[in-house]
Amino acid sequence: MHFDLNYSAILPQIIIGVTLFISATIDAFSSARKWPVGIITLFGIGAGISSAVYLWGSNIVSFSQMVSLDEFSLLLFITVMIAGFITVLVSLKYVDDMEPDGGHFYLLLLSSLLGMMFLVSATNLIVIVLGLELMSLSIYPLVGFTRDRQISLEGAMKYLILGAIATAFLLYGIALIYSVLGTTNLYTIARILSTAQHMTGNLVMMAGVAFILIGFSFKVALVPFHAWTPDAYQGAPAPITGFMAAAVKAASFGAIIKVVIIVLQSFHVPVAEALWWLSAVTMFTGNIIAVMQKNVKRMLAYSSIAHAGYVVVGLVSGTAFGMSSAVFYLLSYTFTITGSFAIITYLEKNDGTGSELSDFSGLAKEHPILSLIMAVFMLSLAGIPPTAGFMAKLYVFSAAIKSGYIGLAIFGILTSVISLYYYLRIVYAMYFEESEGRTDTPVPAGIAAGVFIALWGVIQLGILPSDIMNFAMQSIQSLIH
Amino acid sequence: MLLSTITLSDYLVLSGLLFSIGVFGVLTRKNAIAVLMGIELMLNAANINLVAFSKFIDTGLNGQIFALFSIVIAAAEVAVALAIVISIYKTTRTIDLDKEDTLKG
Amino acid sequence: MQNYNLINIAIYAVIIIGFAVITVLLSALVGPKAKSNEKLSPYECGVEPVGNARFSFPVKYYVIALMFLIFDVEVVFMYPWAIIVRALGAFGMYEMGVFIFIVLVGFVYAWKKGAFEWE
Repeated sequence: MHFDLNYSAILPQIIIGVTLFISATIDAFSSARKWPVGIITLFGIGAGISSAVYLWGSNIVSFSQMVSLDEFSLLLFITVMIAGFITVLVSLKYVDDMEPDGGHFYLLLLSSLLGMMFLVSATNLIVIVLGLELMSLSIYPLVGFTRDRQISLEGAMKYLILGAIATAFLLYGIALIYSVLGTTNLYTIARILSTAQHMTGNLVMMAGVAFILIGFSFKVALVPFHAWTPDAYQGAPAPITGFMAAAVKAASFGAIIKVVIIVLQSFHVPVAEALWWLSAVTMFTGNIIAVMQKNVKRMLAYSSIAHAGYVVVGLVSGTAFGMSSAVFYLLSYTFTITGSFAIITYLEKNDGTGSELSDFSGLAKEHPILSLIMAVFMLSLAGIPPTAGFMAKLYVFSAAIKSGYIGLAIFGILTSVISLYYYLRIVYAMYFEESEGRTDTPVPAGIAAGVFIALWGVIQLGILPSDIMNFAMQSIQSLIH
Repeated sequence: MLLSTITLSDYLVLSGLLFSIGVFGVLTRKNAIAVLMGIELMLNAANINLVAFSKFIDTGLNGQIFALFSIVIAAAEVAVALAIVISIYKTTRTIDLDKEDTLKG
Repeated sequence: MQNYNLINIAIYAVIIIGFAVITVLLSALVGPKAKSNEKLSPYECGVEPVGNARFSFPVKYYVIALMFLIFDVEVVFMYPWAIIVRALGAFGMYEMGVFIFIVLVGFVYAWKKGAFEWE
């Protein structure tokens, strides 16, 4: 019997999986303080990132064409693992403060990372669903991690219900496509579609594609499928909100990009049209509602909805450059948002308050460096040079203009002008408003380290973007070949 | 005769109906458990398609294996959901989703 | 496969529904009727009913049920494996060993975390 097994195709996943087992064992047999589990997790994720860097350039399809290891999946591995690394750094003290026996925080984070990695390396719809579910099912309990806060559980419940509906839509869409084509393998689907005529006239097939788009739109929170986002983001513990905004979004978009490039070439016209509307509505709604928010977590939740819209602009253009710019956007957003939420983690109090806009008042007097970094992150989110966010928006919009979507690009730029208002309000509060008296605790080392890594990323991608953009181009090329 | 054969489209219709009933349940029910049952219906609708078409048009067993995985996914989802519902019940003594409205805006 | 005669299923459905309806109707028509307090109380295997039937169960039941659900469903993956275990040979045994080991780690974790403790 012949088996198509090449274990190096899933080497990064194996590393994360083994780390998960080691962490679980240590967690089960250790006492109250759980930071050692976090340290092991950090080493594991670090090893995972190293292995992904080491494997750069390889192109392996294995396990009966279930998973592929190419530059695309490797770049997204690195993206989600960086998000995980910063999140664990930030949470080292937080977890022990919040839960007396909270080691499962790290385990759930690792297993969601594992799910994300299978999600972006999948070349079969079965593995896409499995990866997506492993990711989501690990994130739901993380949102409800702070069990004594009612909003935390409420956010988890809403996220779970809408996430499960999204899964059902995705699965049903896959079942419909399977019922037309008789396969779930992405390459086989692509081959059948490229030879078949009039597939866009097949109602069942169109319904399948639409259902899959709806399912993914739920996961990355495109308007009008965004209802869960503000509640889940506000209810979740601050580090997890950052992780969700960065990694969950990056992984889900990774799967979308892969499916769009490999499979949906022959559906390009209707898909691009649907994405055009989704991105326009998403950018507009996210930014407008964010203006009205008083709670910073909720504000950044709506802002993350808007940012998903900007990523979709890159997808709409449909060119290799557009896709690469979307990948670049995901990486830059990962650095920016995990850094921002690291600072919010520091401000968040044990009862879950501390993330109102008024809590930022006068922060610059007590923490000048932290406030400066927060201002940089906010400028990056708004898209002001010389930050990562500016370059990301520049690439995405220029890709759209090159492909002739000038209206969408102008609309996107206008909405990002609106967004400047609420990002600058945080900066204004930090520098020009009077503090209401804050109990001054020193910044924990973990949070400081996480913030500096994120800052390094934001500056690096803002000043020298071309190297990373080249990697993004290579990653997209590895899918097309 | 109308009742003579089961064709592929019958399976599509059945699973479509089941999916619609599930969506209806999700949209109209307020009890968290009932909403979860609606979601189960939606997932099982997909399973019907997978298994039926695996028998009819696939040369391999992809669809049936996929259905096994989706059963496990559904079970895991329910387990996580129940765990969260229990935690909510412990703090608020209700599982009515309409009463979960602390977060707004 | 495609030529199942649905009329058979229809006849079958009519017969079983008819049987159920007729049995219930017959017992209502023919059986003697003696209404008393004892008769109207819920039947609990001959034991006197105690308290209200709608009370909430201790949460521990649900935790045990959840653990059962998870480990029960894992077995699903063993069925397809069991069909071809001979063809797979030693390799199949190793792979299933890995799978069982993964489940086992989860089990030990739940155990150490006290998910199975009653008190």
